[in-house]
Amino acid sequence: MTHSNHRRGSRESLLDDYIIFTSGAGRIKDRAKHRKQIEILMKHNPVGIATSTMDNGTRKRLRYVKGWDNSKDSGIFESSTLEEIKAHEDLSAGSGVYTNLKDVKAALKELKEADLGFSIVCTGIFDQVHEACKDVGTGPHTVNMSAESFGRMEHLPEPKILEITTMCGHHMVSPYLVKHLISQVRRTRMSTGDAVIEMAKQCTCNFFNAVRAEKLINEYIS
Amino acid sequence: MPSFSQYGKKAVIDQDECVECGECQKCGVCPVDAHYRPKYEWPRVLRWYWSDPLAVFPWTGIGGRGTQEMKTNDVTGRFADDEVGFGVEVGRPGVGTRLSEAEKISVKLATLGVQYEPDSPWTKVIDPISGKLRDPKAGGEKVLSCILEFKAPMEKTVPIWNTLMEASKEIDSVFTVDIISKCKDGKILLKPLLDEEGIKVRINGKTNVGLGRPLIP
Repeated sequence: MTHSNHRRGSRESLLDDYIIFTSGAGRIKDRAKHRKQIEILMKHNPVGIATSTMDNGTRKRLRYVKGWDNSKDSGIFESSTLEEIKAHEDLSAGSGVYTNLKDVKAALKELKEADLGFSIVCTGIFDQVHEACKDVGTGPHTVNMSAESFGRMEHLPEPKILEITTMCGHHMVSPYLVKHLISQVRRTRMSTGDAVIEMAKQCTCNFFNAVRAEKLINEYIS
Repeated sequence: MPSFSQYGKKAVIDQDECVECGECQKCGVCPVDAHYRPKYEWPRVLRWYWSDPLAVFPWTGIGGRGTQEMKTNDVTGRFADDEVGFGVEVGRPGVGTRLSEAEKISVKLATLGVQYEPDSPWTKVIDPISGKLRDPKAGGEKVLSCILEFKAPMEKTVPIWNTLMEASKEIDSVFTVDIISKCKDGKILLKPLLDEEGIKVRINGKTNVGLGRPLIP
């Protein structure tokens, strides 16, 4: 699945939006390497972290989103703090969402030095990510480029809404929900921070960048 | 299209439009906890597989709507220097599609002799030679999005692109295109060809940074 591809927005806005994650991690059986990978991602100021731990014989997802505490949990959507995640003995390799290139470079540098063997993908503006690769002394190895959308374009929501909804590649953040929450913010029935957490919760892969979403909504409203 | 209708204080799910993503149940929004997940039968179960990221395709054993594509290319070597990878994500972003609409594109691409990814969920439900759905009944099912994943020699990039542009005029949905290319010395190998042909790609996307071990250069 290309769930981190096709994130829309201007260059200026996308400069605040990066994801680092691993794929095919199951082939690496050494659990210490899994833990090390996610520890590195947690160290460099992520605004989102997704990992999992063993819980009564099944794997339980652990999600951190900056601004989401357990008072905002609902349904199956539960938040964790970074401290709570670190307290688990068993952790799987996972993903981190970042808002600047400096943190991305620092995380990639440490991942390279740790030489864990995981395939690592970094999503973001190509020239920025490739500059980070150069500085760190690695790839780029292969890219997946987004070549726009085609067909019955009249079915798409307006571009500003798409900038928010495309941050969840599986499209679990409905444009109807986004519009409803923005209208709640406009009527001062909800803060922008609470609205973006309601959106972020729906994205079970946890790639939704709530910090960028808050900025986008504030711009949209003003 | 919304899959809920409001009747007074009651919300009713339109079963024909519902893609079975399960989001209404997962977020616990119903004050009387009325949502439940029924036992799906064929072919309706396809909606769930392609719409809920927590569902696992029985034929592939993995969740999500596609495969690991380029994300593990440093370990698998799935895409070579002289190859292009495509993902045609029908229904994305957020519009949804009947599988019959994806089939229209699949049939057109099959005439070009593209190599469908054997482990992709879409390839499991079609005849990869004709591109047609193995079970025509599946065509009526609506999903949030499905991905047609395939690769081809780099020189087929333009005919594939032209075929997709033709298909875009015929389908009753939208699709979003992924183009995969290897890099050498910091450069994207396919980019000069895309620029020459006027095929526009976004400034952002995914980069496999080549830290997988054992590394296939």
